[in-house]
Amino acid sequence: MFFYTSDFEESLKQLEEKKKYGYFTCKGDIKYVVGHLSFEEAWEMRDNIFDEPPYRIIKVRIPNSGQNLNKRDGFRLIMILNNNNKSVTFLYIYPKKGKFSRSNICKKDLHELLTNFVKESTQNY
Amino acid sequence: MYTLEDKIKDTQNTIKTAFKRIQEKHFDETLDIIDKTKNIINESKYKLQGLNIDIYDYVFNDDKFYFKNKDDLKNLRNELINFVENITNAKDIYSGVKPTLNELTEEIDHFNEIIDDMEMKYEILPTDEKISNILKNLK
Repeated sequence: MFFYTSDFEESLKQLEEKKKYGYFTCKGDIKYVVGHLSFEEAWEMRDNIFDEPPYRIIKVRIPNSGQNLNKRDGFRLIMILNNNNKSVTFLYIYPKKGKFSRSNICKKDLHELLTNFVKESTQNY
Repeated sequence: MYTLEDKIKDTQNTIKTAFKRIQEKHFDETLDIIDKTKNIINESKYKLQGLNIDIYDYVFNDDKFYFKNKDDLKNLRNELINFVENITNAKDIYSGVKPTLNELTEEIDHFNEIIDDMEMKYEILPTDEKISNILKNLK
């Protein structure tokens, strides 16, 4: 089961709006990488940065077909997996290259994303 | 027979030629330094590229590797940043090597990301009470 938070929705929307900067393929690129995965396959993805059962936070490298960039230079998708209810929730996405790129996310960013995730999950977002 | 005017002109010409030669020599030397610096930057970039691939592909999930090598990795990061800073501050060669240096800077950014993610994964988040407390609200 795939879900997303309002933070993710907003970050995706902002990228899709920036057509001339080559971010418009973002949604399709995410689908290409994670759309076909089962929960177990997603759980076993190698890029996890936090692992405290039943939760695992994974930072996935996504290619950017709009700029013809490989996984390394494309997007970074932050998602949290819950092994209890087998859910995958997208928290945030950002590009590694281009005008609106960022280098990384820090602990404080992660706190904010997770706080919002918890808030929206408890409201049955 | 040389007149004084001839001597003045002759001296002027000598100075002009000498100045031109010095400029040419300096120009040749600068071009030579730029070429050498480009080669050094490219060599550093390819080495770092290989290191980035190896760390990300083979040892990103290896905590033993991280704790054993983290100081060396962080030292290397500082050395790379200093290297780029020194070249950026060398005004006479910087403009000639800027595109090559940008490629190295991108590679350093990838290196930095990998090191930061490993630090986050093995050191910061496991001891971060706030993140556990946030998630406890869901359990």
